Amino acid sequence: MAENIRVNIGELKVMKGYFKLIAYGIGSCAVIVCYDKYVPVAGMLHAMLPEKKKGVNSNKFVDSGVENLIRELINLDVSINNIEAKIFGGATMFDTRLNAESIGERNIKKARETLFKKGIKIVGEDTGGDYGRTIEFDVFNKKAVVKSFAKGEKIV
Amino acid sequence: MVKKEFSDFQKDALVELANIGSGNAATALSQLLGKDIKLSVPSINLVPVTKIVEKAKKTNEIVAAVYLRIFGEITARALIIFPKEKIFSMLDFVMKRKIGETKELGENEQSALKEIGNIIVSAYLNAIAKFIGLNSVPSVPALAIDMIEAIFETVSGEIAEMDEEALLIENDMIEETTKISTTLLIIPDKEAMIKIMEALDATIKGL
Repeated sequence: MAENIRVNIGELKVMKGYFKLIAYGIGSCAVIVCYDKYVPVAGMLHAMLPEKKKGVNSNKFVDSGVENLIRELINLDVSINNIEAKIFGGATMFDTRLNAESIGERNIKKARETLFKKGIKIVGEDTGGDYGRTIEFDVFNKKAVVKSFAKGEKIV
Repeated sequence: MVKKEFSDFQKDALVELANIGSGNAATALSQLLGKDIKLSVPSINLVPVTKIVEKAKKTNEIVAAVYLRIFGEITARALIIFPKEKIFSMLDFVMKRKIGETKELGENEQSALKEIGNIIVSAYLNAIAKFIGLNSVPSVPALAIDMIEAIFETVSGEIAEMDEEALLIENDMIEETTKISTTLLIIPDKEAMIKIMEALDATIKGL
């Protein structure tokens, strides 16, 4: 049995071996998983906002968090050419009709942009919509089970 | 700037303000349901934005949440949370239906939930306006029926764009016969906090 590792808001966790990386109840946040397509090494980022604020480099933000995620994988001897990504979340839970673009939409846009700049391919995703998701990513087989109240369960 | 810690005096004043707001909100809810509502003492906590989601005690619990922005002399956010299993009985009362009649959440039921949120928050704001003289109004309400963490997480994201921490003013109301519990969270922006504290000071001096 794989051990469950919970990834909370603003956290980044990188694991090697039989682990499941789990993020519960993702609304507008973006969950970005990057892994080595050949060996069981993966990291999950649970970021809140798209862009880092001045001088702050933290896993609360998609742009700086993705940088940290890739750096940590490389530190574990993963070649950048072998990294693939799957992205989740970025829902617009509340239609307050106050903003043209919701935080969820901006989070996903920033995730695509940051991964593209790094030359990392997004091979799977479950993003957008108006509902929350729980994401369980299996580091060993690189599949994510996405659970939602609105749409049930699916595998990405 | 809001200090990390409030003085006891300030905290008492805030609790009193929340009591006045939630008292009026509970009266409004009581009239809507046609039932008595019991209030608990409001709790007031300053928490980092990444910790708001810890308010969710169970993982993947489904709730109905109405979210409103508050504009005017006080800028804030309001979140009203109803447990999912009580929504139908609540709608039976509000929509004057027979008990057990509401079985799905169609458009009418969804607007009724939003309207309940709107009425509760407006009642809260009216009481505060009378007490400290700061006038504000709620935005169009938005509704989500989903995992509680996803709801808190989304609201924290919005707050995080402006502030590093949030003042959570939590007001719990319960209808005792059917155990419909309603949680109302009022989260003032940092700027609004300063105005509220100043207005509270002025009001207390004037009493």
